[in-house]
Amino acid sequence: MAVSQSGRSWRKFKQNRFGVMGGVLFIILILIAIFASYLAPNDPYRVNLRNRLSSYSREYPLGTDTMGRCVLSRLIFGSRVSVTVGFVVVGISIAIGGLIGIVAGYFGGIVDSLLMRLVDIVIAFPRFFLLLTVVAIFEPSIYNVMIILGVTGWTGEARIIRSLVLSIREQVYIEAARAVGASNERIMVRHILPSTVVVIVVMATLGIAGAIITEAALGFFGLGVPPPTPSWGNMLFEGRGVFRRAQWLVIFPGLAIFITVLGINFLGDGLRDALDPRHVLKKQ
Amino acid sequence: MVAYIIRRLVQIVPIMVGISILSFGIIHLAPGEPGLILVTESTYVTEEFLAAERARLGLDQPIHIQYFRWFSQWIQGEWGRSMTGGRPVATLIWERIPMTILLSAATMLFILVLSIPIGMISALKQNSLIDHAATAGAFAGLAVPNFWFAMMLIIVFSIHLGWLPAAGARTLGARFDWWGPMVLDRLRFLVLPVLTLGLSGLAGLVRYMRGGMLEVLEQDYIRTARAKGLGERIVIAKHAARNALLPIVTILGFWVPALISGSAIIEAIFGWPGMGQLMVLAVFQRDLPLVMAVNTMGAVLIIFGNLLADVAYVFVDPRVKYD
Repeated sequence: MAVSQSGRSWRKFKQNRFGVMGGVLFIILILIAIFASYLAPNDPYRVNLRNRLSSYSREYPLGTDTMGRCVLSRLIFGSRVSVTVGFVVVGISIAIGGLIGIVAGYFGGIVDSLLMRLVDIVIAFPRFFLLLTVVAIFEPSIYNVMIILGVTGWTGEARIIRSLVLSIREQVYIEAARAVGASNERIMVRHILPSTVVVIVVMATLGIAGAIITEAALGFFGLGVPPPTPSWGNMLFEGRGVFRRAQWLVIFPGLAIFITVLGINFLGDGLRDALDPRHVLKKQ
Repeated sequence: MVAYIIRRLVQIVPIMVGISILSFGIIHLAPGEPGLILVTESTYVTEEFLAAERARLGLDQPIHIQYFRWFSQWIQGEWGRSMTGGRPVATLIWERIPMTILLSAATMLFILVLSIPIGMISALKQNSLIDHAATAGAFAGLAVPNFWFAMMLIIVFSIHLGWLPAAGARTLGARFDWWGPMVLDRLRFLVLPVLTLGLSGLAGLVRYMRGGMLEVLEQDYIRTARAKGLGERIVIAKHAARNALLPIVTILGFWVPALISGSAIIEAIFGWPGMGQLMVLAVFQRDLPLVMAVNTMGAVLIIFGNLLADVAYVFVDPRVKYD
């Protein structure tokens, strides 16, 4: 009986304990984000100034913040920001990086050199400086943050996809498509793009983790998603001022980011090992 | 070699032009009139005064004229004055660059000194306890947000244990008899920033070193070396390690942008008086001339850091000849 490629990959993925664990963590995170309002013990926005900075209790399992709001509930709702930012940012950066990578790799020559110089320029910019600049100039909002992260985060994707396309375009089936008169656009969309999907899936997975950390870093400076919307980054920002007195305010949001990113990295690594036997994506 | 360096320097020119366009463009994307921020935000002004200010600052010119004016001044080292302190931007930056280079170099050294032996031992004793611990540590290191890790270190080592300072770069007002205690004082302030800035680089490089070493150990020339009766120590040190180290130099080049970029976060948390901290201050004060200049200088540092890594590669790998 013929074993399909996807079946083989799935079997290989299932053997990777860490990959499966990461996948489960990731699914749990998404479920938490979706069902946040059912899971949270309290209203994450309810201010209670009489009960500020209180420690762990039955009513507030992880204590309260500087405005007496429930830390656990805010953590649970904060996952929504992280999940949304992760997916949207990766969507934007894969779209830009994929387009530039495929066009550069497919056409080669002067188009390739021009596009790759553009990549060099963007890479030479200290990304976090750039992010701080842009966020400070425009009003910080979840939309601006996502657009900015996406628009500055595509260089690695472009480089990897380009090098992949350089080898794909030499394949016989591309030559065949050209021989039957397919246009460049058609070849790129119908023949090259599908061959890059595996690599894109792995890059996207790992990219989500990166986007979540970077958004939290902006939030940490008070430049991410603006309050009162809870995000793990702005919770750290709010906790920073009082972290000598109320350490739980900075410990738990960071732990949430850490566990999330760890899970996604495990998942990404597992997917790479299962899907990408030639290891186009180098192991770090 | 000289020819190679010259060619690389020539290649830098278009990249620098691109960076200057980007720096300039971002600021001018800002809503409102960024150049007039001080005037419009601080006082009630008449239209005539605004027009006069615009003419004085050249803001009534078309955008490309403004760019060329800014660029020709910039290239001559005329970076304007800080909007908040009134001091020349160039002075502010040159004061701080040495501190950022010190922090980056110390971090680079920290990453190298630890990652190479850990990665090698990990590969040589594959699946041992050490290997598993190193791999787990590397995964954790890549997943920990460094700004959070910084605060955890401060909580443990500065607040609870009181061993290391939480902020600054030296003990203010301290006098030292000779250079020994002074260096020691400086080092104490470096420990926490270097740990946080280097964490993910260390984790990544450990994984890289381990992978590279495992790959090299399977090569034919290692089998040959063993077959001709060389001791294991010599095989590892002379044949395997040297080849596994080569790609590391390239990887170091990749880490330069991360170090410079990460300095904004780390320097701001630890009050380290470098360019990253300056960047954060400038951004919060909306000090646009300063923001533009720091962005551009950050890019210059990254470009030259990469150039350095490329040149180093030629030195360590005798097979590579650039003519």
